[in-house]
Amino acid sequence: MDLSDDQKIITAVLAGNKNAYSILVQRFQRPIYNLMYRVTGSHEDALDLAQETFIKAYEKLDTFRLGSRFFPWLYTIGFNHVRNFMRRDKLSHGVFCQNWEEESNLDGLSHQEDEIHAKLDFQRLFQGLQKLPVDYREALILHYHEGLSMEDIAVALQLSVSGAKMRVQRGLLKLRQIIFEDEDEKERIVSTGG
Amino acid sequence: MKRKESFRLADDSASGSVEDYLENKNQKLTDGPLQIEDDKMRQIASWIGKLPDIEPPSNLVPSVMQALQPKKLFWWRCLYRWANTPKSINFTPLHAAPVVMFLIVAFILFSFLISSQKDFRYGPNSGQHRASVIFNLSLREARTVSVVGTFNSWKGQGYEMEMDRQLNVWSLELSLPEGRYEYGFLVDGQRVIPDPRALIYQDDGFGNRNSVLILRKKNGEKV
Repeated sequence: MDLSDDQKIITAVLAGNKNAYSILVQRFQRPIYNLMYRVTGSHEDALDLAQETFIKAYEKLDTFRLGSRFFPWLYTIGFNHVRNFMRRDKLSHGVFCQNWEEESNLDGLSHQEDEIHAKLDFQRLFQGLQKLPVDYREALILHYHEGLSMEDIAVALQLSVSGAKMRVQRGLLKLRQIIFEDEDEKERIVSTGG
Repeated sequence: MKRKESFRLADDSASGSVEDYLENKNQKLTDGPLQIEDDKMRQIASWIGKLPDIEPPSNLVPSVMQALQPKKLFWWRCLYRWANTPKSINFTPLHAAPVVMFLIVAFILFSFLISSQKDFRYGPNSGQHRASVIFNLSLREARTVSVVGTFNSWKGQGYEMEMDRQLNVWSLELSLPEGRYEYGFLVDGQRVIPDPRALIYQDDGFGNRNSVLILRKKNGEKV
């Protein structure tokens, strides 16, 4: 994502060119929509929340500090918004996308051997992510999926940089423990001769 | 075949919980780059990277755009944003030359103005009309005499009087700005005596008297 390009678009929007904002919506709709869907597990809610996030960001755009990155700022708005939604409606983050495996087009993979393995891997990952607390999950997705730096994750999740690093590292360790729990247990038994 | 590794505590002797492990690793995490401990963690990171996204519905963008109103910012907000936005300046040495020349000329002019003001050391009143004042004291037995007063914070250094051998008088000429001054003579660096020829005296609050000198334009050039 071109930082200077985002800045130019924001400058144009603030100068009154409303249509320029559609470029930003198109550019970031996928991660924002996926964030909402991961948290709510509902297409309907994800669409509403994503829309509201972009509208909120537009309304607050004059408070955006030019020179910083737009996506972490947008993500903060989205993440706070979906959290408030879940809190308000007393929903559990644990519902996270029980249908995600089906929704994310894994069935579209052809049944070659490697792809079957890949599908199994993703199934393990989905199950692991589902058990992971939402803060850890989002930190991992921002870093390894969206490719954000620790500085950007810190902005997006409103943490210090060392806090963001800690969040990612802890999340990875927890996820490892969840996904490979059985394997590790077997190895431990073998290595101790039990 | 994938290499099997077990997850171990920092002492590398026994497996433990994530929390136990991180207690030992906290310092390491906050400093330096992110630590990826083993192949399994790398594998998970790689899976997350390849995680398929769900396609957002096609009506997301139009529905957002429909709900927006054009932005109208107040002029002061525009000005603030403009002032708060980082600007990049591109220049070539040729473009910078007039600016450098202007700065050099300004510096020379400023230096000239400063140096043209005589006795700049007299401080805040230096811009006002100045008058030349000659201090005289007849005191043969003194070894050194300096003029001290409110114009030099009662410090004699740099204000030493010279003995005129013909007249047997200690003498010093100063250029002072208009104003009212209290002064005295510091004799042998030890005691301050008032000017016996002064017209006005004032108690210094410690049982001594200071001489008073009032300089005005109408008082004439020589006092």
